[in-house]
Amino acid sequence: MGRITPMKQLYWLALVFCAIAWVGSVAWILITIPLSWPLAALVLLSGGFVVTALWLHYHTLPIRTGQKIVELAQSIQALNTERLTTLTVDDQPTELRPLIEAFNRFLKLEQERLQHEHAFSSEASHQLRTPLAGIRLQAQIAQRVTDDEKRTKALDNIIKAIDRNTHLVEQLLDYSRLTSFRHAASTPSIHLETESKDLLAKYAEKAQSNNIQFEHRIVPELPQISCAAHHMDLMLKNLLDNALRYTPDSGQVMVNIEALDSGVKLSVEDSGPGIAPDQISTVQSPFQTSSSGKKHGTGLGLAIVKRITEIYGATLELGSSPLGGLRASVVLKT
Amino acid sequence: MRILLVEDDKIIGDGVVEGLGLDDYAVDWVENKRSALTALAANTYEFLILDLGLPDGSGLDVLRDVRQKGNDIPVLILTAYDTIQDKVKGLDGGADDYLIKPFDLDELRVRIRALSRRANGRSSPLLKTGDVTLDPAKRLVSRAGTPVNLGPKEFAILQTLMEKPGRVLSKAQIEDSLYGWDMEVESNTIEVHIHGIRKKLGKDCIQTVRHVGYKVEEA
Repeated sequence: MGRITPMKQLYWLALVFCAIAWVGSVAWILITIPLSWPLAALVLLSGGFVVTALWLHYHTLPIRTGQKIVELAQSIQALNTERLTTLTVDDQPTELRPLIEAFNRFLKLEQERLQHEHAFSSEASHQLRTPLAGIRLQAQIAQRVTDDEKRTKALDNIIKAIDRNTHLVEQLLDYSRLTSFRHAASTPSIHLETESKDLLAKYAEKAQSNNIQFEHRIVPELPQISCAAHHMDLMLKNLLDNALRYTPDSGQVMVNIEALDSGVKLSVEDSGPGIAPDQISTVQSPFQTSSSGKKHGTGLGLAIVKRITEIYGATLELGSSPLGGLRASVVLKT
Repeated sequence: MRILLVEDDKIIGDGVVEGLGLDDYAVDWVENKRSALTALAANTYEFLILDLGLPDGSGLDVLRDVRQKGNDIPVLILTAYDTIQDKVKGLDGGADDYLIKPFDLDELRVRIRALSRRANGRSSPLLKTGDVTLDPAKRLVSRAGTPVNLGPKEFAILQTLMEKPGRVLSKAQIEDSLYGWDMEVESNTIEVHIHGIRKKLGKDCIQTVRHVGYKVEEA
């Protein structure tokens, strides 16, 4: 035991104090009380007992702490994903308490993660069941109707439901890949202008066929930003998908990319129904849609965008646009 | 039989309407809680098919409202949530049965027939009056053991009357249970169909109660 711990100081203090009191009281008894040898002997003995007890207590401390550590290890070993109960702090030695408390904090995080994962998979299976129900039902109708027009309609509905399911599965895979994503050693730098060109052209075309006015303004000579190209693509795709999905016929979608002091701001605005202020924070969680979003989306688009911004320390801001709908802005760092 | 379907998914909703239409059920389809409550207040339905996850609330709210008003219409829940707790919540809320998505169209038809049979206080799947027997599942009618061919609307009218034997149903009540919102009703169709039924099954199988309506005798 090299370092003097507070425990050790306390021990020496107690020992010195006891020794002085002990010798002092024996001497005092002998001097003041005549014929007091038996009493002095009794005090001598009991004093010796106290000092021995203190000595024993101190020197067996590591053994007892060691035992507690073994017990603790056993109770940690007994934990599993089905049973994640926090460890009790009360009956533990003082020096182990900070360790147990830190472990409990970690356990809490793990519990939350598991709960989140459970809720996610149950919601995912629910979401997948709905289009499947539609496909099955419409297929049975296609089998049974004799009317050609009705059969064609049922088959069209099947294709629609399959497309919706495919979109949902893609979104689910994107989201779960992002939740397990770990940073590479170095983050690649990209030019947003070159990176977004193809996607913007593709969505401009899509907007035109939906009779939506699509505009984009990109400030020239943008600084490079740190983000993997495929993540940038995914983020932009989801923001544009959302904008086109919610914008009514002959509506408007506008994309702005501008430079900031230490980054680049990408905003996508639309003339759709927007998101009510009290729903802004909930829609960023998976499977949460705004009241207008229930009809259209999977509830994963904004959760995917949010997750990517978290990976790169970027920010996602949702608000209302002068066009009447939603303005989603992402600020990416250089 | 007139059914209210509350389902926010377009493809499932359309499928149920089309699928049950094959059995000549008249299905009114609404896509949210608000319209469901309005439809239930304005019309008399004999069956309610209820999806739980609606855009403006839960189907359980609709169910609660229906039961609070003392309406004992049979209710079948359609749900994509398959845990025990979800089922218990639905059944405790006053539903009679539930189907988990994806479901089979025939399973849906069977459950509708069984639940409405129970709601009408019958245990036998067959309906009988005099020497006429109607099998709702096989969609067969026979008189004294001999099968008789009825048209789909004739069959539906006879079934509606036979489900409430001894009770007089007005022309409007029969029309209500036969036609949904978007179906055209000609003014004299019920009379025409009843005439057709009588021709095939004998004059006495459906009785006319003057100025009130029609009825069939209890078996």
